[in-house]
Amino acid sequence: MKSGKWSDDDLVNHINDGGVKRKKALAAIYQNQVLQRRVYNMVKYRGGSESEAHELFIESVVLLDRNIRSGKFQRASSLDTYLFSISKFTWNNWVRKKKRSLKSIALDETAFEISDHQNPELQYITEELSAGLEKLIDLLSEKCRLILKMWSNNAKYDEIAEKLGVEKGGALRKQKLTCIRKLKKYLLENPNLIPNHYHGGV
Amino acid sequence: MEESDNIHNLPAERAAEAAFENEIAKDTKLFLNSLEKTKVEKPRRRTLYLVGLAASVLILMASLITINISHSDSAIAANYNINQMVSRTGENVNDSKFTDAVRSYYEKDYTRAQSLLEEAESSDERVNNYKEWLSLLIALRTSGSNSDTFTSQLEQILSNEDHVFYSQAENMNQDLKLFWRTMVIRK
Repeated sequence: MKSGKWSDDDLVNHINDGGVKRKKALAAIYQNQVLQRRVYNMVKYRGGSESEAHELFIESVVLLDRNIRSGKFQRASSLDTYLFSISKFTWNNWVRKKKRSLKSIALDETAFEISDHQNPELQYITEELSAGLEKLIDLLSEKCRLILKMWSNNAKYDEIAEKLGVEKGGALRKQKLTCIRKLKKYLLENPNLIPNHYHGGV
Repeated sequence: MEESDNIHNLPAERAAEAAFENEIAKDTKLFLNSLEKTKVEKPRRRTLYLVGLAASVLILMASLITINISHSDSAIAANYNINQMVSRTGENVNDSKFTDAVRSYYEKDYTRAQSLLEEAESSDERVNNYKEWLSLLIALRTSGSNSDTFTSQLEQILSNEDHVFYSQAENMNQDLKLFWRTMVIRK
């Protein structure tokens, strides 16, 4: 994918860096008109509405962002192919949930269209689960919340980096992992706080 | 018990990571939704703003130029041309100093015109009215409409309803008080 002036490698690197760079990379992907139109057409072809297509595209970019940061995107395909695969998987998932009948193509058939290396390994979070996870964020220290804000870019990146005494890129990722470990440790000490969803080996 | 042996190890790890990702995903969606508004509306609005701004500037410039050309002190003085008045009334002012002053006025030698007017002594009320009007035009061109010289001369003519140029003075006064002229022209 060539989103504006950036190559796939640029976009992946910027997303991994977090902060302002991540935000700009996500904007570049999201504003890729060709890709957006492709996803919209896919939804339209399968009987979806414009607003559903919009929602799906945003969800797909969010999942792409998550998979890049978690290292699940192996660069076996281009970013736009990968994102389109995510869109198709996500749409199928939505359809299953809503027990919606497909307009012309069977679900299983569409699933087989995507090769294994393109499998986006999506993880969906229900609204109920999301509410449970939100409570866990309250357990984080102030420092960890700031790091979380840096990833989301809800705070001025440089200011927080200076406050935390960290540099951009790798150092930020390490800080994030440390925070997740701390939260994990707390949950191990208080296992009743772990949402049931994660006890079932899902 | 070792952490790795804890049956809650994997669920806790997944939940911790999911909590982080859930928070990031929420903010990312908000950010992307805000881009949608920017993408659709901003360029159109920006274009409209620019076009509107450019049009406003052009209109303002054109208005300023028009007002300056048609409503400047010189333009108003030219509109109340004394020769036209003379020919319109059909009267002939037989005063050499005055006619020399008129000539100098049209030659744009206002200093000499004013000097000749001061030299021209006449007992004829009508000639004196012409002299006062010409003096007013000279003051308008040299000192400007905001000067005390011009204002006092105009008020003097306006205070005399029998003045030959009374109605012209009234019209001139109205022209000078036009809203846009008072807003734009400051001399």
